[in-house]
Amino acid sequence: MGLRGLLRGFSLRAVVVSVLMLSVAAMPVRVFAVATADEAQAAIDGAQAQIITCYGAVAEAERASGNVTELAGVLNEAGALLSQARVALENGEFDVAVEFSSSCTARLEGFTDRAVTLRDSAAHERSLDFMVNVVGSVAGTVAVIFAGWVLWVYLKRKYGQAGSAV
Amino acid sequence: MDVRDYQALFLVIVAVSALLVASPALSRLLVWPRTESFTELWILGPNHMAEDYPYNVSRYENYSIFLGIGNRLGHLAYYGIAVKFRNQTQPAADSFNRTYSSLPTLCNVSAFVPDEQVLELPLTFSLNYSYNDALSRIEFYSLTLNNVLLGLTDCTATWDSGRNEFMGNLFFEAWIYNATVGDFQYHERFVSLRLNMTI
Repeated sequence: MGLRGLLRGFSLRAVVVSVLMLSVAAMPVRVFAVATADEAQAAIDGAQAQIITCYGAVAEAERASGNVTELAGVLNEAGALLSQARVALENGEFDVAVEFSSSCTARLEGFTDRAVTLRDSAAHERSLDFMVNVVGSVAGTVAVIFAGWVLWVYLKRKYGQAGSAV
Repeated sequence: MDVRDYQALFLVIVAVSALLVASPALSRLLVWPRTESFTELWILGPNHMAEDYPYNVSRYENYSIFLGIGNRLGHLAYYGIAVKFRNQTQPAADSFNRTYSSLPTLCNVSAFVPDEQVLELPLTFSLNYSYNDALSRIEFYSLTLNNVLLGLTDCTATWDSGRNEFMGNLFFEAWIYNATVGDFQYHERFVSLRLNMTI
């Protein structure tokens, strides 16, 4: 190999090394971030607090007679992620714990709004149901009794007199 | 014809019609109050039946069961199912004194169950253990539950000659979130699976 080849080889090596160094420098810092136990615990506590807030919102929707099966399913998914975060924390895998906690929090994004919407629509349906089934039914009963009385008076006048005449 | 001869019949027809129209309102007003509120907790075998429960287990072998929770509390419940494992000498949960086991929780399974609904969790577990010839005992290393590795520290099982087994007991305690207290409280029920470690 001549001097020219050596130089070509060297410059190629230099280019490769430079590209590698640039790539490493350009990598997001997050890749190398290592969470501490406190950070992992804080992430878990945050996710747990969010689950409890969401649970409260769903409980309210259920009290308003909303069908909360679907929302309970989402909470179960979030709960499973939180459980895995806790296990990871216990095993000293703090990064994994933070990741699971974040997934748990992400799963519950917009959840409270959904629960509030469900609660409001359930409350509306409930009042409509009350109007139709309770108020409507009571009014209908009064109407039936009144109509019966009117009919009876009419029949008595029409056929009662005729009957007594015979 | 005198219409008054049909008075009784007319009254009956009007009363029955009125009752029919009033039935939707009556069905809401005449509801028996719920006298008992409770939670059901059960384990089913791999075929979703109360049979073929795993008993003789081998190292690293996977076993499937179903853990069921039925909510009859009258409201959405947030359960925390504490998974625990013990040998024959370690403390179990007590159904008479209604106390939980003092053993550490290996993992906590969250379960949100709406009122009058049931949640069944499919669980697959395997155990890693070895037989110590010198001490004639089983030494447990880990429990893998739904692909999550859980360490079993300081847990051994000696031969129970009365039952002819190396006993391990996988059990699940139900805890429930109390919004007033802001914490989980033991819900006074648990289910367990008695296992025999084969060598």
